[in-house]
Amino acid sequence: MDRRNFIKTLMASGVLGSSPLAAQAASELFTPGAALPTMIVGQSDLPHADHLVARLRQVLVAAGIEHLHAEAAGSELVEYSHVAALLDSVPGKRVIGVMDDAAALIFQQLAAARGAACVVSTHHRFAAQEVRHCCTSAGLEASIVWSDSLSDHAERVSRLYAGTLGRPEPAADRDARVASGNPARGADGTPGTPGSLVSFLITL
Amino acid sequence: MSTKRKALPKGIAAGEFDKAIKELKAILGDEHVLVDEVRLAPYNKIMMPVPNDQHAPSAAITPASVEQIQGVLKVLNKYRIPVYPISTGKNLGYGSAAPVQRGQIVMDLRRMNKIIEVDADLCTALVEPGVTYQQLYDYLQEKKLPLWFSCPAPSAIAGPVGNMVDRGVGYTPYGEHFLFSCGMEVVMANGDVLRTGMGSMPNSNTWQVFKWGYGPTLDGMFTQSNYGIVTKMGMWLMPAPPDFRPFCIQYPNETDITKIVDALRPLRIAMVIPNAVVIAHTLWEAPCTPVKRADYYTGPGAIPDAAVSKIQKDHNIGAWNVYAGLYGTKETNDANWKIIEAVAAGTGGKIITAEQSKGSQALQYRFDLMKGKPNLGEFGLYNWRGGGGSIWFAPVSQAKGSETLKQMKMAKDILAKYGFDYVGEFIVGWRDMHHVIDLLFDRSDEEQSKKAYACYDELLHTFAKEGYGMYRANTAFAEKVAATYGPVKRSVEKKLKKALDPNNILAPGRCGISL
Repeated sequence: MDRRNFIKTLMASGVLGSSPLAAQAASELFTPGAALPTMIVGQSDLPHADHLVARLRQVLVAAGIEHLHAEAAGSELVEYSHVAALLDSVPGKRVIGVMDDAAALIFQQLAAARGAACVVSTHHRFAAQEVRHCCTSAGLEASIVWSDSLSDHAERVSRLYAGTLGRPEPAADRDARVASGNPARGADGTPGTPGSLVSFLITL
Repeated sequence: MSTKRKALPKGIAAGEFDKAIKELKAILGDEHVLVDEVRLAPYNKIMMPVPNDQHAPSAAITPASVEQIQGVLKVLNKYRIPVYPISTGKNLGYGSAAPVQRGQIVMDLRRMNKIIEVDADLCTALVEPGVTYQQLYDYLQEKKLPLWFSCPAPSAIAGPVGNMVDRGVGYTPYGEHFLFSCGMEVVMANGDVLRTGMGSMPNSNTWQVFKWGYGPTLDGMFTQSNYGIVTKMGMWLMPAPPDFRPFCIQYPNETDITKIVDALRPLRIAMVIPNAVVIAHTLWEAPCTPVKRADYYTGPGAIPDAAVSKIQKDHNIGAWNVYAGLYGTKETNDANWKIIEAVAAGTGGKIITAEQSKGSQALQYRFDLMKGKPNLGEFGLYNWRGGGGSIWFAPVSQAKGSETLKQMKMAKDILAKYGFDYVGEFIVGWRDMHHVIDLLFDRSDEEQSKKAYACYDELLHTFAKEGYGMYRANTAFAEKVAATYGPVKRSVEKKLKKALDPNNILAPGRCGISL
């Protein structure tokens, strides 16, 4: 089975709870402090990020994963003091970031300087018709690369993070939401516009 | 029972490694010996265009004192396990925190982060390797000390010890960082603690004010090398000048670079302009403005010159953008300003002052760097191509205009062959010039990563043939860059290594030095 099929199978079958990602994450994610909400930090002026964060929040709610949401503009995410304040405000141990390449690098490096661990980091490249993902995780020997259609990508990526957090959502909820389509499609800068995005899950 | 790990030091069996880890935990405590892959992830390579496993660490340790480092080295000597020391690990385009060879244990010195002393009268500081520029800046602000330091572009998260040890540069008059260091404390492979210069002498209070001491000056041996672990460093701070006048001069044509360098070099050598003069190309400025590449070009290969010209026009960016400053009193700066105005007028440049720059992100972060205010403005470069990959290619040349177009053509031709944009800047030092090219690539794209590797390789060898050597290099290319400096130098380096680190435990392979 090639890597693309591997990850698709994992996602489609909802067995991420037993995947290498989740297995690696388990020791980090379910330690004291892990019961506190996961914090999602999204880049507010990046439509691709907005779209992914919105879908991610839906998936986490459906999976029963408590979370908080913080937004910051790209110009704020390259400010040391702003990122430091965001990290200070994390209520528990887990942070999911969704932002551009520069902001993600700064956020991850500042978190690492505080001893944070990186569970999953995924690059997303948006082209006219599809999104290419490249996922790196400590539990995988090499990065996993796969592509999704523009209508599916946020759903799959959101399920990846929900699964890594240990609670894949019930299939019925997932199917209902997939059927509802992609509300962000069509506006300026939304899927269909070339661009680049990074999402990641770190534990502090 | 042995723990299953993906990376082990070369030639070390898992059982032996586990024994060493157990002994390291006894010295440092369990929480400061990281072997879990999730915890090790921040020490994996970021910017090296090679597979992850080539630079995967076997473990990371975070000692908090010289005594702990001495204990660690005793264990590592016993098992012949190599260690890769880092201070903050943030020299991103030159390699980040990942070890030079697979399986090395990363020694992360970030817990050794004390600002030991700042002498406001002598304008000196003594710091540990985990101190960041931001931390030092905050300290000086909090104490209301009118002192500046020089820092590199990714300054807020990087630190002075690591940058100096890698012979990094900055943008104030103290920008040649090693030149403005004064005194090191170094833990040798055998555990001896060496203090260089006056630091070797008991009761001396001149460690941070007189570099040389007596006999050979050893400090340089511990930069871009693996002969010891630097645990303290003295640095000179600059008194904040009464008047600071940063400026930018924009030039409309790529060919203007020749006259720019020839006009500014005399001012630099004579110290009319006391800081390094940065001459940034349009495509270095654009991502930090910020301009989106995709708004101008989405096709394959390098961005066409016509698109670059359009970016210049649309965003008021020069083909070249010169950054420098005047540091002095109002009277001296008024006098020197007339010289700057005359040079700009004579070379066809347009001056932008600090007042005129308000609202420009690209200018503001440069002006801040020139007064030693850390920021992260240059990270905008990582958004240019998408995928966030970056390798800094940095050949040195004479500060002569004739070198510029020649180097630029060589670089542009090779970059274009592999589909990459020319994102470069020339930095005029006292007599030298660094030509820093940010080879930006999509690190999530395996094909593009392979091309980036091949491109750097060709750049390196093409420039070396013309006599241009690198002043620093990405960890992935350490061996290749070292080879361009010839066999005798390497032979001497190896003899030194054998004498100082006979078990080859300190970062073997760093800067191409190993037994």
